Amino acid sequence: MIRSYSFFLILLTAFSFSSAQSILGLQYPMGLTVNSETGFGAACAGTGTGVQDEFLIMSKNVANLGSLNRAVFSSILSIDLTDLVDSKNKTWIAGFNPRNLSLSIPIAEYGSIAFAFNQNNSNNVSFRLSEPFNVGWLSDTADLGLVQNSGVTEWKLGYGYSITRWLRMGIAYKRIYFNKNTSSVKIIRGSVEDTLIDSTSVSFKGNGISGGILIPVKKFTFGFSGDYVFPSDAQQYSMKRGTRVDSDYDDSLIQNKSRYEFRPPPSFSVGLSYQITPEWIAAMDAGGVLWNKYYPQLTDTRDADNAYSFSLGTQYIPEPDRLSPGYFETIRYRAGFRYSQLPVSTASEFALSLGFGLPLQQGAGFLDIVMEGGRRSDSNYDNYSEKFLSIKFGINGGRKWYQSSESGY
Amino acid sequence: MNKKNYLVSVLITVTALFCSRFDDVTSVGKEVVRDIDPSLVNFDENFETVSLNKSTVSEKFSIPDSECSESGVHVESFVAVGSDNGENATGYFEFTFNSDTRQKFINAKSVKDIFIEFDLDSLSEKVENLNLFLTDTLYKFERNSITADDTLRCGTLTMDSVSYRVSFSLDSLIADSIFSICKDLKPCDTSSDKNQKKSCDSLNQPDIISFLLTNPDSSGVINIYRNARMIVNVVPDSTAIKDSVKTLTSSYANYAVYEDNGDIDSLSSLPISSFASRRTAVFKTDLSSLWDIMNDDSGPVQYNEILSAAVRVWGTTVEKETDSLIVEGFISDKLYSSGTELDSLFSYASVAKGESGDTLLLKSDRFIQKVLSNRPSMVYVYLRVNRFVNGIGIWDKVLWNEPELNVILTTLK
Repeated sequence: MIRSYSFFLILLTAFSFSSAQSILGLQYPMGLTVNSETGFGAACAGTGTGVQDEFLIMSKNVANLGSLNRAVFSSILSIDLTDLVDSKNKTWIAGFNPRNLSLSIPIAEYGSIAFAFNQNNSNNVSFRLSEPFNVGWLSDTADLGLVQNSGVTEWKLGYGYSITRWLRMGIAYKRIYFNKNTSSVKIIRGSVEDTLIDSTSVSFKGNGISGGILIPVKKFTFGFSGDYVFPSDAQQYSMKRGTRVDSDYDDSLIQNKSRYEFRPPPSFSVGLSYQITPEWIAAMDAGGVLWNKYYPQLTDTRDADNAYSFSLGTQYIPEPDRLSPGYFETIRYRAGFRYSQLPVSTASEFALSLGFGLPLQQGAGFLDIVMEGGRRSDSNYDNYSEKFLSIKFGINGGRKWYQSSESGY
Repeated sequence: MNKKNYLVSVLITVTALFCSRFDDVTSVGKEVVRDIDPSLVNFDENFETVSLNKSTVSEKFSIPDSECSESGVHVESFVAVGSDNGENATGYFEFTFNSDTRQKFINAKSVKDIFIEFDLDSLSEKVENLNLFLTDTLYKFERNSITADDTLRCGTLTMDSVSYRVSFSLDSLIADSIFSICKDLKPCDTSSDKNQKKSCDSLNQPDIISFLLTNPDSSGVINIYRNARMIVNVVPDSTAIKDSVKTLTSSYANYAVYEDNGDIDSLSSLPISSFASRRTAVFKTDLSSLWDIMNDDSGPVQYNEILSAAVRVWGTTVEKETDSLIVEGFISDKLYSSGTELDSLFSYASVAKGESGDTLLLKSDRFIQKVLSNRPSMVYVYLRVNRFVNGIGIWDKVLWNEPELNVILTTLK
């Protein structure tokens, strides 16, 4: 067992040395949107707004908390492989990111509360061009580089309640953190080495709310979820390194700080699921990120447009109700498809996903293994695209701490 | 190895091979980056070179270290004494007498004689010309203004050719004076009380006796190890049970090099750098053409920032001890003539290492960036040579050709 953990640790460490990259993501105000759903949502291409599944906790719809009757935790991490391709070259990039960690605790007949950390946006880019460069009689090399690290993370505290058998409601407070560091780098390498770095960091901390409802009607469940972040001040810090403007001869920094109002875009999603048979469930989602409500439009990105998305997913459990099924009859087989517009009107991505929920010993929970592959492109760049493959690992578990009055033997 | 371990090993190997295919940096997606900011992928809009050749040098000369600044005083593992190619070196040694030293002489009644002993790195006939003078600590760093009244020739030379050692027997009057200093121990409480110990130290302030060692022979220098010894033969009182020979080791030693007065004017007209005498070569250089380019806003790009700059230097070695050379360079819009000021400025100098006769590059961006705000039409390029390793290359001297200044300009938004 120790060897297994060691191997897993080595694997994760190896991947954590590199960073996920999307050159297209450079154009988007808050980086590239990433999927951070757990359980059903992870393997069904992000579908789950209209699904009642305990291991979704509140990653798709906070109203899902109203359907929980035991303490549940869920987590997921992702290894992202991206193949950047243009007409002449291709580059494989890898990165490792924890995506979601959620914990839900039922409070008897009063519903459930939940706490979650999740990463919603992420992009790390190291772009560099090099050319030979002559300085007098010397042959050096000149580099032009662009380095950007950006991401949005959230802490979320939610509460869900089942009002009747026909309505689940949920609401959550969230604290959102957005950081984007962009550096333009000019380098001379060789005999007269020198570097000039022009960096800009944007930092935003804000408060937001999430709300949702779930309406189960016979074999159908309808869901709606929305997110809104209140406007607040963002801090921008600019710094230039590699010049000497002070009286001494050491490197000095040219620094500038400013503040401006920042409003992340609100988002919504609607979903519908249908329990076809006890073995099969199908679900679909549609949603959007309303970038026209985003403020401000910064000069280093393209003007953002509303980004809509659509996804489909299905789950199959061979023997969901059998008292003593075989191991393979309890595995949750899942698949999904999604299409998403990206925050500029000409860019989009699609992905196919396939996953397995492997039962752990003695009903302790499930180990999710998900593979999602797809392509990201922009019609402005016919010769450029990004193919990606995400390998996700999730751990889900739960324990019943009390006997609900609604449950019987 | 069992089957499970074998499987894990294979998986780790495959994973490592798989990961090794990944890149940290990419050049793919140039069109996307260009749309964000065209200058991010356009080299012509980011780099421009300016070469200022020898025609921009309007004056060339050198500055002597006339007041023998601290950097012209050399503290090495040896002390050079003598003359070499118009440069004269004198040695300086100090012996410190504190309360601990004086404790050695408590049981001494009188002095028989005192010797000052020096160890040589080699033996030569020039040793016979060495002179020892009793002097003042005022001349620790300053030798040029020294006069005959300030020194007292104080000993008779004897040489031990077997042990590479020379010693001076001090005149009896001087020996008596030194002995009286040795005996000048104020009585104090020798109890273990720390406060009492402090007061004892304060009663016995250290005295320093210093000597100058010179060699009037102009045919070369003698290298003497810095640890000189003062051997004091004393007559013990009746209570003494120990040896009557007391040995003290010098507490400090240096040597200073200064140029012959007659050579200073002729050397100053040449751009010469000398490590020993700290002569500094200077080139007055016209930067107008650089500022003209930086002020030009008629093109699509205005190059308003200096990314990098380097001075290309090469010269003729006038005097050399080794084939290796260290050059220090400095650029300023001011002309300095004081060795002390130059010492301070050269603490920021750029350094280049190479072989004698090589063309060397001195990174100079920080100096040019510093004058960017006032953009002076003329700047001064200062060049010095330094020793390569401790004790080697002391006498390196270089006559420089006109340097060439290369500047790489960029834009700063």
